[in-house]
Amino acid sequence: MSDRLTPPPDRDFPAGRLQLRKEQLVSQIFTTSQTSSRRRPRRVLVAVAAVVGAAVTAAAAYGGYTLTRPVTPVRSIGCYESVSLSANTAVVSAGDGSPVAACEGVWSSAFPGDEQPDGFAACVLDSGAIGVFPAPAGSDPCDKLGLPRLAQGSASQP
Amino acid sequence: MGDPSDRMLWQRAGAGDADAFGVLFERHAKRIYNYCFRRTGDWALAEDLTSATFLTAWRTQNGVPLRAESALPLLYGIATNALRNQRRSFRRRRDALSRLPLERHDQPDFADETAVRLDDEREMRRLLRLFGKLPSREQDVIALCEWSELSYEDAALALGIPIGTVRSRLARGRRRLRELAEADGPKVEVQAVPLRMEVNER
Repeated sequence: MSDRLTPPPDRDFPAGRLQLRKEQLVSQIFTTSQTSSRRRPRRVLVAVAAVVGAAVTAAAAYGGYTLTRPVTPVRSIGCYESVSLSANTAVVSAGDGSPVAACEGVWSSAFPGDEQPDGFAACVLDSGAIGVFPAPAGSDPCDKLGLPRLAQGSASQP
Repeated sequence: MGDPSDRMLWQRAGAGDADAFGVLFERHAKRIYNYCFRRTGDWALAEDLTSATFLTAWRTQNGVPLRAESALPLLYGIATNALRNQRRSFRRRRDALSRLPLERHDQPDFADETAVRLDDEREMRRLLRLFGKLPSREQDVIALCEWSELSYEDAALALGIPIGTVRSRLARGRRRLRELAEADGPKVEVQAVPLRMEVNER
């Protein structure tokens, strides 16, 4: 070939290499995809089992903790301005009276300008503290917020 | 009944038919292999790039119907991208190799063809030194339309550009290549380029 602008002619794959390359490719593509599709459910099962195991362990640990932790008297109560966990909150001393009575007593000074609600409800917050929320007639703020209602006459929380 | 079309084989391969993929590989591997060689001047690298092209085609286009009746535009397009992506690392490797003695221990066993293929590589690298002075977009169309004899339409599909752009880049690239060849030295026979133009524009 004398012309420097014309490339060398076409060549075949070296002997045996075409077949070898083909087998490698087919094996890589189809064996891998079959293997991965077979393994995927197994991997999912392992992941699900791990998550379930972790959840059971955490639940058992939390249950054990709540059953055995020492009872701590409630020292303060959160009086919420509205039925929302992010509402303005006045923190008052629990005292000897009921949490609802404590909040009723401070409401007008804590939230001046707000109309005193018709009623209040005391709920147990996730932290174990007591939150008192305005409870207009016929509504249940604890239920609305997904919190347990404080048992009647209870002044301390486990 | 004739051979199944690429489109049919591609569809069957997508449904898990390994034999169909094998037939496609046997049908087109040689053209992609020679295309990759002409872009790199290295037969061993061309072989690797051919496999990589088919593997990438499968990974990126599996389940996507072919846009053309032939799989070649898709394969040439992927090969062009693969060449572009590996060029940087290839340049580094080539520079390192050029400092070593010519003996290559990782060369596949070409038996009696070894000498011919070494000549090819020498020839191709000499041509690529000139060719490499063209902008890469012009290199692509010349390598596809001139050296691989792809139609303008298939080259446009492969590169994802309009046919008119293929034509204009080809014309510019040919002219520039002739000028480069003329400036390169008295031994160059520049008339071969117009001859190939006639063949391709039939």
